[in-house]
Amino acid sequence: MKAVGAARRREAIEGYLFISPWIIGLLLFTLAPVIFALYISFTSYDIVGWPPKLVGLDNYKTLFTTDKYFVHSLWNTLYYAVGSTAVGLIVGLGLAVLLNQNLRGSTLLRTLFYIPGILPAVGMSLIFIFVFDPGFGLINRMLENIGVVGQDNPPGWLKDDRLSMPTVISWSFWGMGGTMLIFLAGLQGVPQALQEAASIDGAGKIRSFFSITLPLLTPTIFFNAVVGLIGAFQEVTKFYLTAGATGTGPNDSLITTIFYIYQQGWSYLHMGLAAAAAWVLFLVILVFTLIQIKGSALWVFYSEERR
Amino acid sequence: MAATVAPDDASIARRARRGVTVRPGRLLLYAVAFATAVVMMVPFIWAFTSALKDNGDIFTYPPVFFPGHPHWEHFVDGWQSQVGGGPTFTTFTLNTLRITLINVGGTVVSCTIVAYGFARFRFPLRNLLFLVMLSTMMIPYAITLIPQYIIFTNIGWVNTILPLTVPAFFASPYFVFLLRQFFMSIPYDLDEAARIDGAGSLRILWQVLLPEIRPAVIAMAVLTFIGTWKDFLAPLVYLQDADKYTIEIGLTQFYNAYSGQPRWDLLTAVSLVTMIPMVIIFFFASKYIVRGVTLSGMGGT
Repeated sequence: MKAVGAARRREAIEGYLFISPWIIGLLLFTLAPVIFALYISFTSYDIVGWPPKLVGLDNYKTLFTTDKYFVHSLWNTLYYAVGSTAVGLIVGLGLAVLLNQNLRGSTLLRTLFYIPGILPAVGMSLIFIFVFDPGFGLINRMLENIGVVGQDNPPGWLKDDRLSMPTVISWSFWGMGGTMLIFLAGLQGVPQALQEAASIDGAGKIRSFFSITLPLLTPTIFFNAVVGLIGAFQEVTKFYLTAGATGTGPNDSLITTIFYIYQQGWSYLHMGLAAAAAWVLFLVILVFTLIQIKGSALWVFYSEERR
Repeated sequence: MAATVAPDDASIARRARRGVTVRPGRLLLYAVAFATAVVMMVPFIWAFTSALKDNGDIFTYPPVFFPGHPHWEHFVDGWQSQVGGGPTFTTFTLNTLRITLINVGGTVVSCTIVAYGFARFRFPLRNLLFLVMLSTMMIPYAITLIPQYIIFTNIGWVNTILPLTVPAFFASPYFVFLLRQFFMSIPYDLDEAARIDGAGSLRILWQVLLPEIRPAVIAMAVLTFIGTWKDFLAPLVYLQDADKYTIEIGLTQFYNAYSGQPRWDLLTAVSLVTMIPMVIIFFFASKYIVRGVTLSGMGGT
């Protein structure tokens, strides 16, 4: 009995030793900073000197009342997050279904569809800024060539406040490779036998996609939606490069919350305000994730077999 | 690996029934695939031909699609532009490589041992701690960046690579989760047998388990490489001197340095060159990337 107890204790000690790097990291680089950020958010602090001046809830009040950009930045962030996640899901699923049809050259196609998503984001954004330039960009040149738009009044894309966000969202078409791969793996987990059975019962390809494949894929769609949204809420590279000299885009249409935090924190050294904005963003992400998890009960279908 | 599944018997039979002629529906699929591939590639092709143009030709109307005299030297000139008054992209590449390799090493070692701990040892609060770990994935980077910046400023780490590398040695939840899945697919009998032969826990990890999960470890290394290489906000905030910039920050400052009309011939050239390492990595490691992405859900975006 005693020997068993000793072995147990030994095992527990070893286990804690092995996970200790994560525990130390959690305390040092996650928990302590998150709590510290909460404290900073109740202060006015410009990094110089210590301690910071306590100001109570002033920063939060400023964010939601007098600040010109913050609430607007939340809407822009939401707009981008929902839009780019939707593009990723629709295009990713569509291309995964396409690749799953055993086309010739599908390995090459998979590579072509996937690679743009892992390319460095600064270079990608610069190329898109170049391609979408209203004056000399490829898009307008092609539209002019086929006569869709006149040369005197071309669409402004990033320089037009109504088109700028949809333009940035459209770039997600090139970034959906990872989502596509996850869908592809999901599709290959759909049992062939079920589709065969449906086909024997006279269901066409489209019918069997919507009544068999899609329901079985809902856990994958759910996963991609949650991960995609959390990531999109934090997109920064594209907005840093597109927002232009003002840092906010035409008519403030491109200021997102992460960029707002960056500006307040590092351009103006308003660390308290930046920390408050970061906490609000954290809560927004948390609420959205919880809504998705709660809502998933309504549409996500888990087959009884645990995979 | 994932997409090229061998046709199973049923689909071969189906094909035989319908004959080998290409059906119109099939043709449509090929058309869609081809069109999508073209759209995917067009921005890069346009950037490439623009990089070869005389800068003035970029703005002319009607557009020049293919330059008569390709300016290959733009690739060299762009690469050697002195961003921030000194360093070239060679410096930025070496800086990036250094940070990236340290992070790959730190991540591989720390995530492997933490995942081993969670997968193979019983200890109090294990499941609760694992749940805590998964929930930390939701915490946005921006919220930890501010206090970390304040702390790192006070201990003199700003403008060094320490803030960008040290945290990698403390395990990332994503990869711990991924590796734990792999560890748990290995029968526990293997550990027991080795233990009876007198092997300690570290030796079991090194000699018995690691060979079994090597594909997952490689996937983790490759995805960490790509992720660190592309990292933007942290290097932007922490690296202040131009000779310490990573490629992403160097290219950003190169673009920002132009007020008014940028030299797009050079910018497109450098942008394309910065993409080459990722393409090479993909071709060497595509099978591990595919597996890593599908198992961890990290798309690399």
